[in-house]
Amino acid sequence: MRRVVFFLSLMLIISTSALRAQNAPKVMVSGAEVERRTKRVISDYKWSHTYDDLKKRAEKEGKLMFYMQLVGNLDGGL
Amino acid sequence: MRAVTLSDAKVRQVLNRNFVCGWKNIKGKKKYSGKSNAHPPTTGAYQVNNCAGHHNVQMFFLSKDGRVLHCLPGYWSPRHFLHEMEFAIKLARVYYSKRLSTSERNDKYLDLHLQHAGSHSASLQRSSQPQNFDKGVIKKTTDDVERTKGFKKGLKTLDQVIHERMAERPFVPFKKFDVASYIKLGRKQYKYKIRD
Repeated sequence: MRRVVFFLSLMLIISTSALRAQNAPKVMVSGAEVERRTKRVISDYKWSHTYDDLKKRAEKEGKLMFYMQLVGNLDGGL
Repeated sequence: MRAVTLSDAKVRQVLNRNFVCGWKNIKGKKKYSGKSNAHPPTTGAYQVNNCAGHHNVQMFFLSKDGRVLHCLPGYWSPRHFLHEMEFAIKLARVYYSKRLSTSERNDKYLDLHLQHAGSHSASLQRSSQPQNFDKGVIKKTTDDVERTKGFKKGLKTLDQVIHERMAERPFVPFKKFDVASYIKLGRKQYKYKIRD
């Protein structure tokens, strides 16, 4: 009986660990690559840092506006 | 967002062609701004669903004179971000149409948002499931995210919720846009271990 309980407990632990591993978010991009791409994002776009400046540019260039509000900095901690 | 979506070549091409771009750090400056862990640019990027981090990132597509065409809260995958950006460009054409009166334009805006939501692929909807830790909070704090009648009961996917909320906000000026109620999609803060 004890052996059965032990075996069942062991199976439960193994299966929940496997499930947890399955459900853990997967890394899409490594830290080093994130750093490289962040630098490119800063240089590949022309960024305004205030809404008013962005609006002036939109009127001058005749384009729409894409404006992000972020908790953090685009080139720093986000 | 920066390492995946904004780094995508097609996203960059369409964004730069049609939009001027800007960003602002709202940390500690807005009551609705999130308080979750900050990720330095040396931390790996994890796969998450669309709208994850809804209190940390809000992306506005605006007309030249500052009317909100569309808003995407949180992270959006490159493919789905492109899909929504192209939709925002379509809404801009409606906004600038000289053939339509203001009320016709607003009606068309509402119709387009709801039609667009209805046309979302199964893949987009699957990728827009609310995060588990948000589900309980959403049910308690909002009244438009759960279907209680009809055949399909349960929580809506967040891509549906945002289009329904946008449909109620036709061409609102950015400075009057109620971001706090728009991004009510779950918790403002979620602490977790950042793994490199």
